[in-house]
Amino acid sequence: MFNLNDKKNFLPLLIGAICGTVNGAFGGGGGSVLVPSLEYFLRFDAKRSHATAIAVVLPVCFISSLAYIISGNVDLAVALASAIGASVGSPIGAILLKKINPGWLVTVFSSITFLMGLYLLIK
Amino acid sequence: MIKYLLIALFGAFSGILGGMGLGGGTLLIPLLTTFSGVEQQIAQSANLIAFIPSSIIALSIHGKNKTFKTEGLAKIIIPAVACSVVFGFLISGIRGNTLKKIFGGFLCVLSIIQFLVGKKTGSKRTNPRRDI
Repeated sequence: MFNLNDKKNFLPLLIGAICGTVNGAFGGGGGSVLVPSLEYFLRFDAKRSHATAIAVVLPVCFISSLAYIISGNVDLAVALASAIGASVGSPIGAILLKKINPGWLVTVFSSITFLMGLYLLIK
Repeated sequence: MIKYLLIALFGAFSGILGGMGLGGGTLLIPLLTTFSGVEQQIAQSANLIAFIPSSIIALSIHGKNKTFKTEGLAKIIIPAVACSVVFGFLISGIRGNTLKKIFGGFLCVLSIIQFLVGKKTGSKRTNPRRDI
């Protein structure tokens, strides 16, 4: 389907594989890997990276959630409550994305994420 | 009931971040495990499932705003889907608390990368953009 010897194809394929591995193993975070990868290696601008990340992670989430269902790792009530909440928040975020520069948001968000990760590690 | 309202609230908060492409899921999962007593694997699947309707809504808005192009996307999507299924099955055999610690380490690494790349791309870029 793709010429694997073509250097131009190597980076997108590798970035996709890393994104899928992370998103499957951790149930999320694939988009967070994709956004900086697309910006840094494929030189997408920030807004295009964000929108592309959602488009890639969508089929990934859909198909890998089947793996979680088959493994019996799904609580329907928890999933449904999360889905309803996220569906309300998501369009708000998408509208905000056109209006504000995500630059300083990345700094705030990455700081919160770091503290959360540290807490989970040492708890 | 309050438990599920709180979960919906966490979902809304992560949805706002997710809609902006900031990866809200990386925050929803620890919120669920830390404050709602949800097990790691269950929180992960909840995030995966929550992402589906919310991202369709966000994407329809991005599509309208023309911030999104579909050409060349398959090159990223196909290996991503394949790897996610393999690892989705693999982690079901890991103890919840072990996976939580690995997840914590992942969050630390990820946030540092995000911070550094964010700083770099936040400054003026001189390289031309190339299409995939």
